[in-house]
Amino acid sequence: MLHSLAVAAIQLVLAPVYDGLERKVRAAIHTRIGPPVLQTWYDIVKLFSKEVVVPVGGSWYALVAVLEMLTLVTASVLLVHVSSAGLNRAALFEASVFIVLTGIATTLAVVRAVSQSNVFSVLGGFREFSLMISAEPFLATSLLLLISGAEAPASKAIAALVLVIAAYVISGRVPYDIAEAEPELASGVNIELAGPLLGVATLSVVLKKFISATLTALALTSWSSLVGIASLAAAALLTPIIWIAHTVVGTLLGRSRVDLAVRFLYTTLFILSSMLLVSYGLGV
Amino acid sequence: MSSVNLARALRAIKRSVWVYHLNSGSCNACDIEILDALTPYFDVERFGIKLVGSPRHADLILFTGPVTRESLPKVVRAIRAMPRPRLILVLGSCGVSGGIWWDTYSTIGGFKKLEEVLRENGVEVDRVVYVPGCPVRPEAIIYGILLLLGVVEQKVKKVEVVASES
Repeated sequence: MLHSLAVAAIQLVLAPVYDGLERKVRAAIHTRIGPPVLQTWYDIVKLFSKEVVVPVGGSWYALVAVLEMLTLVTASVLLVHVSSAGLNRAALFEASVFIVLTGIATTLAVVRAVSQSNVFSVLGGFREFSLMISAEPFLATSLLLLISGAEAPASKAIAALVLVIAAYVISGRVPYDIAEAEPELASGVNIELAGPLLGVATLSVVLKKFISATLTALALTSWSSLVGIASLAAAALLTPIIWIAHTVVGTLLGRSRVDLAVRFLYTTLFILSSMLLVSYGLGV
Repeated sequence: MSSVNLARALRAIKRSVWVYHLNSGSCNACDIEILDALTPYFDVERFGIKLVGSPRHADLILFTGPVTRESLPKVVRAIRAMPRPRLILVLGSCGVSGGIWWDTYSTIGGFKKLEEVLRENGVEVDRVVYVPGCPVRPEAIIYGILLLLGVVEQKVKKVEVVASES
């Protein structure tokens, strides 16, 4: 229990620092100085010092935002357990619970957004939902297949590729940032949040990025035979590197039309998953 | 009654300023300069400045325009939607004083008049800085934000001169 709490605390501290690093790297690509590495922490501290504005709809709304963050923290801790087990059958239960929790967190975000009287919030909620149904089922399938023993090289490679793509999508970067595309679109699941509640939502956003980077690290280390501390250390070292790789990809990609991005993603993942199921069935 | 420790919040805002662009009926010249100030060329993110799409997320409103009667209720609503502390940077001649529209039938005549309306509606504003100009320059906008946060000193000071009778 104490071990899990310590892991959660470390992740909560590190995720905003990695996000600050992302902003610094993005600035470097733009040839600008950019904000300090601790900028995301400064933002969160500022948000927690601001006035508490309870959105239209009542205080349950605040409860949902906090619940969403706690669900993501638990999912993130479970992912560390999956990582330390070295992505094998021993971690099947943790991985299944992780998938369920990620789905619950996204559902909470959608429910929170669509129950608002603000139409822009509802719009953001539907966009989040469209991303959820086009990425999370594929993420679940590929992760479970990797864990439950897709030993053949072809099925293992396709499963890892599907996991890498789906993980990038849940990180909410361009062009899959359509649910909360900040200044460009005046809509999003967090549009009605303010002050400390927005601080909680910001922590949820960076935790999702952390989970995304860790999942990609898992996909990359699925070929190694590392277990225990060695596997955990490899994932911990790879996480910031993958985070930066995600940043570079996100900065270089342009934002596409809202419906096109999702349609392209769904088609790609559907084709890859079909290939995965066929290769898994044939044992190649 | 506000539930916020204003001094603590203002200290925190010094390192992280999220701005919301509010146009109350300007000719768009100042708005174009705001967009300029937010481009990578000026790199305001190094000061922690970030543009947001909702007044709920904002710490500071970049306010332009002489406040047309049509926009007035929406302007009051947007400022009320901001969590405290509410900071406002009033930009351009029109925002500051109504400019050439100061006494026209369709505007209320700039931020000074708007302040009265806000007071009547119980909307408190914690800090205001005026940046005149037609249009206002991007450098002046950035300087105005830093002045508002207390990062830089005000260059121009009010001096009262009393003429002696002799």
